[in-house]
Amino acid sequence: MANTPLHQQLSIMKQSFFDEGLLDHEQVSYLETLENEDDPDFIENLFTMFLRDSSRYIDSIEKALEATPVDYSVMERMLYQLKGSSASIGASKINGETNTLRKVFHDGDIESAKASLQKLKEEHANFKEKLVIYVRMLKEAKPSEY
Amino acid sequence: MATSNGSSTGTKITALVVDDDRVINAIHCKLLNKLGIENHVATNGKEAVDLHCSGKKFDLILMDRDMPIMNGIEATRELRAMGVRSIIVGVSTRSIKQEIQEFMDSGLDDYQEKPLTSSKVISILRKIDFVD
Repeated sequence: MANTPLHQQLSIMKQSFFDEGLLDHEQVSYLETLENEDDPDFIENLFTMFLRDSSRYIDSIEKALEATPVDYSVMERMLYQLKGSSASIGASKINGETNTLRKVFHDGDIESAKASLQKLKEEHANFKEKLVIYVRMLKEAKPSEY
Repeated sequence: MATSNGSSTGTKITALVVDDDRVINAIHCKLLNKLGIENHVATNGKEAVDLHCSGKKFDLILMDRDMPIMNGIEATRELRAMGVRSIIVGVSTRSIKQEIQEFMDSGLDDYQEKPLTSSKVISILRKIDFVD
């Protein structure tokens, strides 16, 4: 990979994700091994997909938790979805907050679950803000086709 | 490492990824592809069953547990009742023994916790003698 200022910025940004515990180093390294010449945008597409889908899951979780009565089946399904996809891209903090919310929800404490959901939303917003910039930089760093 | 010859006839190993999460499907398809495995996707258990009803066959099925319309437990039971003898591996985030056992009892050959990795898939393929 070229060692341009942009690539250096990307390296620094990626390392900060690991240092802040936002992304799991091992899982991201593994995903990078899956990228190849036939699909050079695999990582960017994966991150973009995750941001869109996780936003949807969190919206569904919020609606389910606010419903009267609470929609347990939607909560269960969305929590497992978010747990699985966040683990798969190495989004450690989101995965952690999802597990916390699951535990609190399973304990039956709805008010604590709502508080836990707010924490999850904050983590998600923080992660999204940074990852959107990272994905944009990844795209810019790709060599031009022409 | 996996070979592209799944049998003595030299045909490629085929796999069906059954999951309603796009991120999981993208990762699992990519890792199967890298191992030389031809893969298809179903986004819920009913789609997986319908594929088999249409005559499709797969050497390996990676089955998620929690899906809309028809979940992994129901789909696995249905496929086994239809006489499907493929290797079905349950893939889920569930970690409670009872829940895993419930999924295994539906007819799975193996269970792996998400996220799948190449080494987990290779260990599955080794069990079914598809790789050295």
